[in-house]
Amino acid sequence: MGLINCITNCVSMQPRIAASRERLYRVALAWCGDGMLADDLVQETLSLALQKVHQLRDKERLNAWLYSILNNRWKQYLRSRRPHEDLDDDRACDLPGPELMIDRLEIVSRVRTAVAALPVEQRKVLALVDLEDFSYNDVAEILEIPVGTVMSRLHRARKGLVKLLDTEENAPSADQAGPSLVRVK
Amino acid sequence: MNAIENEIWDDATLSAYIDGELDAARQNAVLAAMEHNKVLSDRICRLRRTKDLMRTGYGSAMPPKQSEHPRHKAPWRKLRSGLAASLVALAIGLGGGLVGYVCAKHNDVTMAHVSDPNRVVLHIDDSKPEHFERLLDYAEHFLQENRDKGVQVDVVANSSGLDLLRTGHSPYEARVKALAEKYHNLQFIACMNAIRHLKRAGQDVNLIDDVHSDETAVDHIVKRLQQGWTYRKVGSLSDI
Repeated sequence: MGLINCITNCVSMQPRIAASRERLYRVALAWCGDGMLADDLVQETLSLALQKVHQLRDKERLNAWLYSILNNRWKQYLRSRRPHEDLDDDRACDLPGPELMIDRLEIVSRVRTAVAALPVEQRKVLALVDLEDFSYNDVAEILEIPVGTVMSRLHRARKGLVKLLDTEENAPSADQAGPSLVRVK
Repeated sequence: MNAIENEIWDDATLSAYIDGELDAARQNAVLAAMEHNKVLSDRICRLRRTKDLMRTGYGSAMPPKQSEHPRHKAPWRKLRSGLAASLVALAIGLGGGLVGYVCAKHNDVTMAHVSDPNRVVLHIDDSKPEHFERLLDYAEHFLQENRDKGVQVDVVANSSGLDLLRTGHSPYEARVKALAEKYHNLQFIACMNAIRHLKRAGQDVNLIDDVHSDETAVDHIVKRLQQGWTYRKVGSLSDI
């Protein structure tokens, strides 16, 4: 491939990368539960993506590649935090403010609170599958974990969500209830 | 019956079902089981509901506007510098022949969404006299014909194309000098790397007056492409 062709490809990817901001933000928010941190992570992801875009051989993989960068930034953030902080559940979710009083936004708030209560590794899988419709294989590749782990974390996450969200509504009957929410690391 | 079926259909499988990850046979089996098993249907509904709730919970989330984000240090400037870094890294990564290798197949690059036909980078990387002549003819004609349109032309030479801009080597030394004096919106750029290579090989490199040599060819071309200029290699000029 000629250099100019490479340059053209890089430049042509710029709008696609920049246009991913909102989608990356939603997933980042689900992962970390903090709007400002999510935006920081996304900004860093986009910046890094633009620096490394020439390394992306398959343009069709752009989306998965971006989320894999986001995941690395997120992991890096978690590693850099103070040692005594719990990696799983101490991120404050976006608390409902005065504007979150109408019903729908109340649901939004409840969902975010419930998601924030899940272990971080479950949140990651859940957000990629449910918000971005990634296949299990894609998620495995993005997070660098086996597909089986994707499946187990996903179903634990969903069971956890059901349990957390149903607390205020219909508690599941005994035969429907699954095992208690188990944290996997 | 139902209890047995619920044992079979574990949650991981049901999650895979709602995510469309089961093969056709297993998907059909779940569908068939749901027809006779309300508990199973309810379990699937509950799992599916989490998916819907996730979308409700985050679907409308928007990143804060930059003005609402005081912690940021000009993030979009970071993006622009990121692009610049990526392109430079790309150039460095390919190394060696640099722009000489550049346009073996692509003689003409115009990025429709950003390119400006009035700002043109002309690139030469060979020392064929007919190419020198064609390039200078084109530049002069373009500048002459579009003098009222605020046009700008950069002539970038590297590899053996550098000879066009070298005193004692260029068959068009006087013409290059005259053009540079006549048109303030025309500049000649000699690739810094090409000069360095020649010097390493023990050659003296003396450039015609007013020729710039403080950048590599690839850096300059990349910079211009980012600024929206149109790139043309000498081989494509006859097509105009």
